Amino acid sequence: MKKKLQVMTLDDEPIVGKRLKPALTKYGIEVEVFEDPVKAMKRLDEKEFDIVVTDVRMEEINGIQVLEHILSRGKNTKVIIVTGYATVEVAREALVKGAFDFIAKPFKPDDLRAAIDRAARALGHPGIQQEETE
Amino acid sequence: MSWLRRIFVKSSEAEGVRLVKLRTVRFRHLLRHYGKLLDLQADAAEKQTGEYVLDKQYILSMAEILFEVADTVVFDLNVMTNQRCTSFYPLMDQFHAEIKKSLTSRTDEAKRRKEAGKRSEKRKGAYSPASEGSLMQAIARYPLLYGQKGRVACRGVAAGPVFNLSTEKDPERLPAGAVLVATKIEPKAELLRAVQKAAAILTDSGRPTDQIAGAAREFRIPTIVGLQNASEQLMTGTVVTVDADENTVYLGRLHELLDYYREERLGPEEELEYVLLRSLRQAVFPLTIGQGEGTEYGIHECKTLHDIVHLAQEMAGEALTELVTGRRDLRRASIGLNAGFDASMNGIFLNEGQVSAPLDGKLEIRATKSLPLCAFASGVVDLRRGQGPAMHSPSAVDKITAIVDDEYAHIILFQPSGFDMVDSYMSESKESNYIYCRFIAGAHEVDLAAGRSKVAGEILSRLNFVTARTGRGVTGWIGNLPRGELHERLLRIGRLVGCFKEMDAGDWRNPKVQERVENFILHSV
Repeated sequence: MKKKLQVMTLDDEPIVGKRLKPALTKYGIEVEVFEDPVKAMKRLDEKEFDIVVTDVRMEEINGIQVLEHILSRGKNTKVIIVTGYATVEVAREALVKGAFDFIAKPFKPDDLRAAIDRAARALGHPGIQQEETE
Repeated sequence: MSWLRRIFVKSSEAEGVRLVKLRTVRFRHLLRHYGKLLDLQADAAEKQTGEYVLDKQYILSMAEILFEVADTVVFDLNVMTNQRCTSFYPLMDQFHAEIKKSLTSRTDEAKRRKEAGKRSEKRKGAYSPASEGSLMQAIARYPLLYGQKGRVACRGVAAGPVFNLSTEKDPERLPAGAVLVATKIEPKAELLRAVQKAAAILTDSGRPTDQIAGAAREFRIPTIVGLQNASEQLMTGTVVTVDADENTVYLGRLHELLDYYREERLGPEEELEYVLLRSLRQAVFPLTIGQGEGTEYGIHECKTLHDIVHLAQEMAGEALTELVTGRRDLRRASIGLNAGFDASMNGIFLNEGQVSAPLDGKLEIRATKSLPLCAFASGVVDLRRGQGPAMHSPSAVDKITAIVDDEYAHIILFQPSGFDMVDSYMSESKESNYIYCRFIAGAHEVDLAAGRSKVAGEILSRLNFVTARTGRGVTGWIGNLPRGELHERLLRIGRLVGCFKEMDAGDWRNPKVQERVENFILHSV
C-alpha cells in the first residue's frame, strides 16, 4: 500500500480550508488544515509534510515567511503558494525564492489537485489517485 | 474660392478630423471599460455557483476594480461631453460609500462568526482522521457514473432515486427527495415548483448562469448541468449520489460521503464569502434603467453601478454622433464611398494620407484599407448575393457615416430604428480587439419595440456577444478575439444590420422570436 501524501493547508480565511479539506481527502490525501500561521509553523517543526499549500497574505506571518521557514530547515517539502486576486507579483517572488508552484484565487479544487499532483511526482510519489472516469 | 479661403477651409477640416480622432480614441477607451464591466458581471455570476475556491479578498478586490472601471467610464464621458455630465460623480461616490459600508459590516460579521466557529470547534473536537480514511475507501467502492463532467451550478452533496423528466413528463409527480434528471429545465412555473422538492438536479445541457441554476442555488439544491447524456443514462428509480463539489455522480447511496458533509460542511449560501459576493452583485450589476414602460431615463433613475456605466456609454455614443453631424468642416472632409449596396455612405479618415479622394465618383470600400469597415460592408453585401437571409430590397440602410483608420471603424447608421452604431477595433493583438454594436428599438408601441429588441438581443447572444437590454434597445459587446474570428463576427453583424429591414417588413405583432433567431443563425453561418 502506497504511503499517503501528507499535505498542510494554511489560509487565514476559514472558507479555503473548509473547501480544500474534502476536495483533497476524497482523493486519499491526509490533510491538516490551519488558519493560524503561528500554529502552522509550530506543527511544521513537529511533522514533515510532503506538500504545504499556503496563502501569501496573512496577518501575522505571511506565506513567504512560511516558505523561508520550510526551506531553512532543509526539508524536502514542496510549497505551493496561493495568491489573492491582485498579488501575482508576490507569487513571482515566491517562485524565485524556491516555491514549487503558485495558484491564484479564485481557483477550482481540481486546479489545486493538479498542482499537488505535480509536486507529489516531483517528490517521487506516484501522485494523486485519480478516480476512473467513464 | 480664393487661395486664402481654401487654406482656411483645409485647416478647419484638419482641425475637425483631429478632434474626431481624439474623441474616437476616448470612446474606444470608454467602450473597453464598459466591456470590462460586462466581463466582470459574467465572471462574478460564474463564481457564485460555488465551483471555485474564493475568499473575501477576491470580493473586496473585485469591488474596487468595478469602481475603477466605472470611474474611468464616467471620466471619459465627461471628456467627450466637455464636462456636461459631472453630476455622475457624486452619485458614484454615494454608491461607493454604500457598497463599502455593506461589505465592511458583513466582513465584521464574518470575523464574529469565525470566532464563534473556533469556540464551537473546540467543543466538537477535531475531525477524526480514521473516518477520512474510510471516506476514501468508501468512495472507491461505489461505481462512478460521471467523474469531473458537466458544470457545477450549485455545490453540495445529496442522494436519492432518479426522477427522469424525459420519461416521466409530468414534473408535478416528482417525489420529494428525488434526484431530478432532465435534458434541460425550462424556467416554467410548474418546473420551478417541482425543483424545490428535488434533492439534487442533473441536466444534459444548460449553463451555471441559467435562471434554473439560480433557482437551484436559491433553494440550495446540489446541481450539475451539461452532463450531455444523463437523461439517457439514468433511469427513474435508480439511486444515485450527486457530489456537486466535484462534478461527480455515483451509483447508489454513498452514506459515508453524506455523513462527512453533514458533519463538516455548510452549503455555499451559508458561507459568508458567497453572501458577500451575492450582496456585491446585487448592488452593482442589475440593469434597472429603462426596464419599465418608458424609454426616457437619466442619471436620477440610476440605482446601480451598471446603470451609471450603461447610461454613460449611451451618452458618449450620442456625443460622438452629435460631433460628427454637427460640424460642417467634417462633412467637407468626408469622402463618398461606394458601399456595394444601396446606401449613401461617406467616410472620415483619421490618418492623414490614408486615402485620397477620387477625382470622379466614389471610393471603393476596399480602397479605404480599413479592416473592420471592409468586413462589415462585406456582410451587408453578402445578403445581396443570397448568402444570408432574404433582404428587403433595394436598400438596407439609407445613410451611413464611417470614421475609420486601418484597424478601426466607428459606423453610424442613420435610421430611426434598427442598428444605429457599430464600433470595432481589429488588430493583430487579440486583447485590443472588440466589437460594440447598438440596436435601437424605435418609436413603436411598447410590445412591438420589445419584440424587436428581443430578437436582436437573442441573435447577438447566439453570436456570443454580451448583451444589455433596456426599453430603448440593446447593446452588444464582444472582445478578446483573434483577428480572424473578429472578422467573421463583423461579417455577421453586417448581415444582421441588413436583414433586420427584411424582418421589419414582417408583422411584429407576433414576433416569433425563436423562429426569427433560428432563421438568421441558420442562414448567416
